Amino acid sequence: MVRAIVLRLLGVIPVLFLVTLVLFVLLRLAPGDAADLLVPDDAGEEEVARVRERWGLDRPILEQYWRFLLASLQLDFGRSYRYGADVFSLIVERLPATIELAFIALALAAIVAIPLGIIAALRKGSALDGAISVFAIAGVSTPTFWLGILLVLFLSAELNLLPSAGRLPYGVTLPHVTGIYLLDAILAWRLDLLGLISSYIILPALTLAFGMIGVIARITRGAVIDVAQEEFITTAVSKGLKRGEIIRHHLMPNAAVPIVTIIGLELGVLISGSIIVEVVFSWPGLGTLLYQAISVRDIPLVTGIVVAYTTMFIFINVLIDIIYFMVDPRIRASQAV
Amino acid sequence: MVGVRPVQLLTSALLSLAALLASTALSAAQERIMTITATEPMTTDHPYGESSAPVYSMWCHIYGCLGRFDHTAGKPVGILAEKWEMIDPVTWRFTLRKGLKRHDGGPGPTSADVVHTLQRIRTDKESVHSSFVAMVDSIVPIDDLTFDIKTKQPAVNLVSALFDRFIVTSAELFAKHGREADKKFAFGWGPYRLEEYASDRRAVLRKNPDWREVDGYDPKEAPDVVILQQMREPEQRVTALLNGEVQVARLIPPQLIRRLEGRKDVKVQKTGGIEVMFLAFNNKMEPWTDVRLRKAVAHSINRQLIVDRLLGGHALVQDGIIGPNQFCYTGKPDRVLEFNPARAKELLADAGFKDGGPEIDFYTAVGRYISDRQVAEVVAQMLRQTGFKVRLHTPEYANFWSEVRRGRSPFYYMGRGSVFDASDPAGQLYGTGGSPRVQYSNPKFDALLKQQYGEADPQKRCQLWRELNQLLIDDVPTHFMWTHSVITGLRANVELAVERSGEFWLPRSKMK
Repeated sequence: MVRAIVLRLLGVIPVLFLVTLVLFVLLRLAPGDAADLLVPDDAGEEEVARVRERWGLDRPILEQYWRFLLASLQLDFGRSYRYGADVFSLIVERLPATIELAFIALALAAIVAIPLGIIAALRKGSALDGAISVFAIAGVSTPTFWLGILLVLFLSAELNLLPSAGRLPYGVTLPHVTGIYLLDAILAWRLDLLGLISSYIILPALTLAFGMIGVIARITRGAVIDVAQEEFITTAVSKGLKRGEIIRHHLMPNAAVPIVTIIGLELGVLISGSIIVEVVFSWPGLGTLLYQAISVRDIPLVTGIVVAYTTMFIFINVLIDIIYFMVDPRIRASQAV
Repeated sequence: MVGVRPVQLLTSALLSLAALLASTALSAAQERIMTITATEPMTTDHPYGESSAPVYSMWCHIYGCLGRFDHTAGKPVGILAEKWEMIDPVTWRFTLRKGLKRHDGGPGPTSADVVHTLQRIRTDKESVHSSFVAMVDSIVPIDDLTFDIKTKQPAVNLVSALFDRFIVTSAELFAKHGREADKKFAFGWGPYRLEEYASDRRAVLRKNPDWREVDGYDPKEAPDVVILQQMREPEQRVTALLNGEVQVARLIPPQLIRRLEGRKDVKVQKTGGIEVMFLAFNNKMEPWTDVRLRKAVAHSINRQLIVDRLLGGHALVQDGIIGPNQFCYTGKPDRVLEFNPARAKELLADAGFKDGGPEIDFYTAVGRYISDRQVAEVVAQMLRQTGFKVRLHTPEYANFWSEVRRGRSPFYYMGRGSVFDASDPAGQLYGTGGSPRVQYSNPKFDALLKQQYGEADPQKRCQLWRELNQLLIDDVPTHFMWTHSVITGLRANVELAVERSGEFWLPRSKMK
């Protein structure tokens, strides 16, 4: 197991190399010049040239990439053109907000989707199964920006139940430990803030979760139906075990592997796919940062963020492998041989 | 704890919580906090690291700038500068205000700070403001509070070009702390001091209790704390205003105004804007080298119809680079290019396109200007109706702007913001060698433009502008469309005079 994980982690290196190379080339080939977007509209060509020289944009692309590679070996992704700050620091500063949003969205989705999937599978072919399927398809098909705006209009504007933007209001101070506010509030024993923090996160998390509910519910339904047709379930029924026991001890543990897989994959998708939701809700995470970076062709920042996303995605996959190992005795057995 | 029942414990805990909430509410009530939406990127705490009018305005409130233009009064008003005068065509003398204190209790602004500011704007690697001071040759201190700005060429427009964008920062703090001065020692002389700066989120400004306006006005009704909260999406701004999260929602697009109308808790303020929108031709690219075709485009467009139907009446049709909201407007130009499709067809026929054509590529940014894509679609359709064969392109702004800046866009819809005094924008867009965006060249235009830079008599200068405006209408290097109104949503308890530039001066605002 450890060997497999080490091999997977070593595999990160060529992947990151390729990702940065492709990104670098694509960003340089794309029309639009960072220098044009950094200076005011009334800036002359000399000013644009000065900015281009300042950021090394006047150098050959291969030289730029080589410098980037050498620096990134020391975790130095350069400085953002637009923010004028160290890219690594910017990512570290914004990452907790994205992780917090992704995990809350994932938790919401799992809490809703897994029971829905199980119910749909157990009532296969019923009207309830049909209704859950419609709900799941609606979740998958609804564009997040549209849903986000609708939720803002309804829950914030009409009912005034929840704030529409940001992460915490002015005047509320929270000791910075992890940057994940819910966790920091617990660590600082500021339980009074949990409600306030949640009120800011609930709308973007709901928006993100909605799409995922559909995917997880469909996969859960399929997995439960597949396992329910296995002979050991028939045996359990024949032995007269109670329905609840069969579901808890025989059906769900065996259906867990595909569900864990999809949850893991969806977490990766969530972290990297929250860009639009973060922008709609002014959520100060990596997504907002990436949106801003792309719109001004901030190459070091875009590259740094994509590298961060790629690394997270790979680590999540490794984590899923570990979870497989824990939940599936067959994998444990095969590793032990 | 002996004898204390759980009920008593719970009661006392609830009472403590209530007392805490009450005290928080009381302290909140004592402070007037105004949250204003910020619509432009707020990416750096470097005072010269970002270029947009709202960002200049924010730093001007904090560090202080030389002055601002009061559009209501129709005159420039000092902020750090007390008085200014043109000594000769290339020299302006400024006197700084006495008695100002820096936010950390340090001395007031001096000529040395102004010299340092120019130096930093020009040499700091993170500065993107050096184009503003391109006209400046040097700044010469006369004494602690007096300095001369020497310009490379006559520049009667210096005050309007520089006043509110020249953010004065402390030479002493920068010498001591370098770049850290912007982060940990961001002390200036402006009416608000910086309390918090979180990029892409918010800037929090707290009122400087010592601040008095240059005319002695005490801003006691102005908010104690101002939060500039980044909200890029218009829907979100409107929602936040309606539910009371913010007190001022800026740049409300016409289609969202209805959500605010008819409500007692919010009000809509409309100000005539100075962002000039136009259709630009690359005058050196075919087919736009032919003035008949440029005129045919102008005669094809029913600007008033677009303003009325598409923009909800929230724009003012403009015939030249100078319109009623701008400096030196002397009334309707003598000749204008009205909507006249029959004339457009005649011009097309004259140019050899009797049976339709030419085929043209038309570009617009999407989401950069109010209803830009929709406007472009209507314009394209109007052009088709007179015979042009139009291909409409809607590239991403970064691509669009790069092509325009390099003179590679043949025909496009765009705007130029904050054109109050049109001298510099006109020079850049239409002056020979100004920039490749329009590629227009007319020696008469160049000569008149140069002449007005040196004309100190406002009446004579405005007469020159009348001629310049007419030249641009006759030659049609661009066809002017309109200026959008600046629509701001305010909570009912807020009074804030939004200027034509879209900016405002917080000490003159009121919050009940």
